[in-house]
Amino acid sequence: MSVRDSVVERIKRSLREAKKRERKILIVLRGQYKEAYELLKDSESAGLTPAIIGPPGVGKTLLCRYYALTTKRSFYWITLDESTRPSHLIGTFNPAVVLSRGWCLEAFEPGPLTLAMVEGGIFVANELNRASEYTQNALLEPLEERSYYVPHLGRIVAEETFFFIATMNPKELAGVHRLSEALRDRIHVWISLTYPKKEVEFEIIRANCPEYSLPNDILERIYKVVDLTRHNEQIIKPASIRSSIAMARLIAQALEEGSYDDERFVKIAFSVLLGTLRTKPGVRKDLLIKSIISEALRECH
Amino acid sequence: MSLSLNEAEELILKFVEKFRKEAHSNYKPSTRQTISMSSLLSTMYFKKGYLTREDIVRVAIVTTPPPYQEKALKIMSKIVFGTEKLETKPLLSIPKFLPLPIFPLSLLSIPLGLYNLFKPVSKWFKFHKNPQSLMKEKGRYHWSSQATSSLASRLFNKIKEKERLTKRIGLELSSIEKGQVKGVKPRKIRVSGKVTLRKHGVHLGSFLKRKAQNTKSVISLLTSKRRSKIKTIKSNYVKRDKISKVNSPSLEAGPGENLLREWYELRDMLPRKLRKEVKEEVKETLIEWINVYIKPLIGSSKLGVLPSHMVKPCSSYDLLEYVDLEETIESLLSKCKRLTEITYDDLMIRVPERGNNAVVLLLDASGSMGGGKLATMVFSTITLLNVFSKDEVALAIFESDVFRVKEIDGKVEMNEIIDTLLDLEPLGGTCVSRALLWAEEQFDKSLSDTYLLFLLSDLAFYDYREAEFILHRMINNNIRVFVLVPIFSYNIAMASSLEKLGINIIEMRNWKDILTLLLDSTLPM
Repeated sequence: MSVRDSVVERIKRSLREAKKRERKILIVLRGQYKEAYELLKDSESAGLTPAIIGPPGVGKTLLCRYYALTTKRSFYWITLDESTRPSHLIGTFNPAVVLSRGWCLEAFEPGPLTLAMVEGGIFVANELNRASEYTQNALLEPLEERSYYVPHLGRIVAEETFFFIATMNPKELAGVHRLSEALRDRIHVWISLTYPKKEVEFEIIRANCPEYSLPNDILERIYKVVDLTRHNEQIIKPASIRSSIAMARLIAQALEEGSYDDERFVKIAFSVLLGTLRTKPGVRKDLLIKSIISEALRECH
Repeated sequence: MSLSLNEAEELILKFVEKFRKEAHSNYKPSTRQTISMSSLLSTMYFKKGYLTREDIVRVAIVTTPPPYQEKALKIMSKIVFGTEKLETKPLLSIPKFLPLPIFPLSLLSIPLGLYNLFKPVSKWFKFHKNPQSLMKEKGRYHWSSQATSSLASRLFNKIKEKERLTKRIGLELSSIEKGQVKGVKPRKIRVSGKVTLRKHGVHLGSFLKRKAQNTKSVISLLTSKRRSKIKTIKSNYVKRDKISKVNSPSLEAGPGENLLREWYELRDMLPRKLRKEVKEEVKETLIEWINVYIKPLIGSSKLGVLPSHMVKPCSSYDLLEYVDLEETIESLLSKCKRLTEITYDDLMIRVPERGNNAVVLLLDASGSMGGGKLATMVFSTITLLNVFSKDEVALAIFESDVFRVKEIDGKVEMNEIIDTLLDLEPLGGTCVSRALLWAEEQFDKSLSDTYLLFLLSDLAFYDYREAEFILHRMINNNIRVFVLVPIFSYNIAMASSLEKLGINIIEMRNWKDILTLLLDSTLPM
């Protein structure tokens, strides 16, 4: 077998594996997540377009993915920014094929939105408010008419089961990249997700560390550290659930090795937070993190 | 208690009507929202078989965009739970017909009833007798009919509007005056319709008015929507408080700099909650300012700020509309290819206009930059950041230390940057050399052809020798350096020695100068 053949074989295996993994989603459907899930269901039944708003790492995309899985539909998503153009959503004509064969269907390479529309799947527009107004306007037609006019091809109509979900970061709602009035009016349901309650976060951590058994006092400590970052005014971007999971996994590993003590906890928490937190200018991040960790330890003792 | 769908729909209509009449809200529910609310409630009704009042409140919240959800909650709760009625209901009323058995009780109710009847009249009489003296009697605030200080009067109205906060605010303000609050400088400035700067012995309002006499209000130049909103707020206050229009203080924000300047001057004296609200107001004005004035400047080659137009080979996601036929034919001919042999790489597409400048902005936030200087420089920083938004831009704030706000290859939202700039406290010394070293690092990271350094400072440097050395090195490395200084106060000696190095010194009289600078192409690129 040549090197190229072996690479192709590996890619095929990886694609198969990815498909299998898509069927398994770790989610704790409790509290706000349960409510948000129900609202998604209600919105779809009522034919309304929802938007999920929440800080990074609260599980917005995961919830959408889970929704697609439970409703047994294909799932497409794209993260938008200023450089995203309508062609990234709708698709584009392959210029080479157009020049050789003309404006035919074969020359059209559909984008994720078109695929979701024709397959009747779920399309998630991540960070919708980061898109330029030009791109935002391209979404008006699919949202309002459930169809899109592709020049040279004609009108593509969405399947009955096509469902559009937008996700956004709350901070950016007031920012320069605001949603256009027209698009805002076409989003009918605004679902807010914040950092989960303690019990729910514990469950999420446990679900994400299935190979370890974490005692409650460790989880309490982790939660205390993370929670303090979420209420500190000097911090612009606090620790997310991902940080809690990272801390929990590292601590669990240390517990298994028998090297866990307070000093190790401080080191782990410090190294996880150093990369995740964003503080206001003028604030010494390292000192702030150390003070937060020591405060958490003091309170837990 | 469960509700029928008809009852729920009536409540929805009432909610929408009431929300639309809200004077202080930017948001008005659309017909689409009404339909969404109705559809969502219908779904809930058919799912559960009944509807509760909580369901209706929840639907009102989730169908309203987030910044206005709190307002939606208040309005719908008032409608659904009837707190609105409870508020207007008098505590004790005189019955029309007094039955004998309750006669003694009704006798008791007469004095209270009379009091209730005369209470608003007496309040009105007191207020209109002398609106200024009313505030003097209360001791803490002074309402001047000549007050023109916009922010102060708006703050005052906000305080008045929030009756539940009044006592606390009053307490905090008085304790600030007395210097009792920990961490707050005891400054002898009174928050009122007329703000007095004892230090200068003049009224801030009239001082700023004089300063801005020839300056058109930013607000008056902003969208008519915002203007009408401010007018509505003003007329509502006039109506509510029955103040004659002539005597009422201006609610307009005044020149943008005025608003920003007042923010930097007065923010320390505000209670935390109010400060947050005012900050949002200032931020919103700044963002609108960006949208109205700066956005048209971005990417306009005519104005000479961002000249760029280039052609590159096509990639799969580029649109065919961008194909540059002349360049493509040229490329095909040079490769001697047939139509059937064409691949993506042979098609040349025009890249949308994009800048190719690396711009580093260094903003001085040292102790000498207080008040108006900082406001002008912050305005200029925001303008430059937006104008060069398609280029590689870095921003740092410096005093004794350097605070990196945005690295040249990093991505920070403008909203966050404005937040940071509004929180700036002019403190500490001016050590620019470290900031300049950081700027050099940024230029090293950049892939652009043109390097521009904007130094926004009053040039009161402690480390001039080191700075001069680094600046000299920068100029030798083809970095164009522009120093923006506030015209009314900067180190002239240092400016002239920098000029000798080949640095462009640009004097800024006010916030408008940065626009003139960009529009007149006086910035030599």
